[in-house]
Amino acid sequence: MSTGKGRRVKGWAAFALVAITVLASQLRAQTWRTFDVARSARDTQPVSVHVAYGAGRIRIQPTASRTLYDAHFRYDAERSEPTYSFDAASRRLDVGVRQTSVARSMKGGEGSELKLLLGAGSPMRLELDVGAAEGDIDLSGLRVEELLLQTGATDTRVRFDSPNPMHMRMLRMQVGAASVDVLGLGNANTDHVELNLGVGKAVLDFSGEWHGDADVSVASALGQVTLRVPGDVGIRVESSRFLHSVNATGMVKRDGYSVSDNWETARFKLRLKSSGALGSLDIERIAR
Amino acid sequence: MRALVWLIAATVAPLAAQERPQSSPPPPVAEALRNAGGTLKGLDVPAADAFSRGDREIAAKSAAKGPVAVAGTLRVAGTIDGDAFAYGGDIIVLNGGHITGSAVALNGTVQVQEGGAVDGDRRGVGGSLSAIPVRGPAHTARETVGLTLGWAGLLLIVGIGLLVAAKRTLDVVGETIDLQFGKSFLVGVAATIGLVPALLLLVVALTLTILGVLLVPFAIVAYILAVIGLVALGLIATIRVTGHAIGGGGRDLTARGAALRALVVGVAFYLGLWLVAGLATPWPVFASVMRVIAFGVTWAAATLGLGATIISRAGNRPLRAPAPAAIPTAELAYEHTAVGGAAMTPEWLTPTPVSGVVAAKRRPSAQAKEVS
Repeated sequence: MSTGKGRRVKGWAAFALVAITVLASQLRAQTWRTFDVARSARDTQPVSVHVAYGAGRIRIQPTASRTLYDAHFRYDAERSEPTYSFDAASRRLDVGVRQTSVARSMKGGEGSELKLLLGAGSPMRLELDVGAAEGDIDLSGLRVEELLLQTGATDTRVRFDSPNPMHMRMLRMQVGAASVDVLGLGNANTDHVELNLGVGKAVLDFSGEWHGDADVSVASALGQVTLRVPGDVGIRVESSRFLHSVNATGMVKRDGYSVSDNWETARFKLRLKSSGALGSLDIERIAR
Repeated sequence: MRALVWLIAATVAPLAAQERPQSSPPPPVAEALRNAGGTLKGLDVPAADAFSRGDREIAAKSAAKGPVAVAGTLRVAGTIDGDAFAYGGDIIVLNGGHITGSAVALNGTVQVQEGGAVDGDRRGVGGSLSAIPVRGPAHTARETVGLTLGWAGLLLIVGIGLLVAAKRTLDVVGETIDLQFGKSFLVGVAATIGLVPALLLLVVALTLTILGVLLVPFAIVAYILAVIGLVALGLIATIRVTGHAIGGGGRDLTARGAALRALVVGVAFYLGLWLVAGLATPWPVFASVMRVIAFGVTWAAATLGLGATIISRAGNRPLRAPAPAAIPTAELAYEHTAVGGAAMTPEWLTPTPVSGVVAAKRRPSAQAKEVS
């Protein structure tokens, strides 16, 4: 006859064994392949870059060498296949990974990676659809004319550690149930930022070297948005909201707007248009 | 219990051990080209027999008409007018070397030294280019077994959570299944049929007001979550009732032990059907029959549970007497106390008052017994 303690130990042992067997059964055959593709920069004509990456890890970095682009894929050939094309006439680059089997793609992102190096010589229009991939996008020093970022359900970080040498027409982000941090937006050299957030969290950090005023539009359904703005930048907030809260200190009401006390005197101004159903928008002041 | 654990381990371990080795001899050129997939997109790839065996060098100040294809390493000091392909080796573009097209190395790399140039793409493909094997029955069986065990674990976790946090709710739904089996099933079927129309009705009703329009997405999510919750509650209750019916009352156990045992036995019963269906994958006809049986039984259990959950108002209806067979007597001892042969719920154990408003609220059956 087993004692109560003995029975408990046996019970835990049985549970552990079952758990191990369940985990072991989840191990699946994988066929890892790598694919490297690169092209040298022969001129500085504009290039359009479209990245579609569903699951895994994606890194985009600038490269100083005479390279137009340099992509490194690691993928499981049983579940996915890299997509690549470059049209020299239209100068459009398409890179990404597509799932070859829906049934097999449930864990398809595990271990998959795309590292894309982009040359700083050519002006570029960037369209990034990173799905449920974990993204680290470093655009420091790249000549970005336009950036469209679409993320689904994961963490993405976009960085501008050094100034964009050219004016960016638009920075538009569509964020689903994800977390996005955009750091150094002052360096992005753009006057138009749009964020459309579903359910998730977004941080827009406007540190860096400002070149002019910026219009920022934030639409959030159920998300939490934080704007970090240098203390010497004037802020004006226009908010239309349902149960959406805007939290900012040092703001006063003037002509239907909330404005910072340095609004009139600030060299650079940020005009924020905020709308949302639920959620919150916080404005924090930072040092430049 | 020990036998069950060993059975599971013996079943799964050999299946899990069927991982394919990562390293295998390189396939022939034709197979590699066929399996390189999208990595060769946009290129005019020469036929397999155009690949010359062994290394090759394009000498300085000499030119070769492309495509140049080798099954080995290609060194380029001169010019290739077109594309260059290498399989099982590298393409090395030396100082002064020039490829006017693209350079592609399958199971190799493209290296461009200072003074060398490639006008087109530089592509390198690594890893095995052998054909991706079609998944055999053993592979499918392993996945199905894994999935089934995963579901079993999930159901046990949810069930234990309900036993800990909402045991009375589970008791009430279980009792409803036991006492109103047919009605529960019919209500479950009706609810299943009415789920989508009810959602549409809700959305239409919300769109009638401005505030409601804003709430539509949240209402849809809340509705879906509520349905999932009701189905899960009902299914766990059904599993527990089934487990109790199969495994007996467990009279030597405590109330919680008996409840847990009923849950485990119930989960083993329902998921056991799926497990058998998964293990039967190598025999397609038998597997199909088992899958149909497993689906039918699971659907019936979920429908029955959903109906019972609705009838019992998500387990908020008071427990009735007599205690359901599905729930051990010991478990209900603190909730039901027989007085003069009649089962009473704890609120009626209070001896006073026996008149006034409180008395008026008393159950007719209890009042009748009192009069008699």
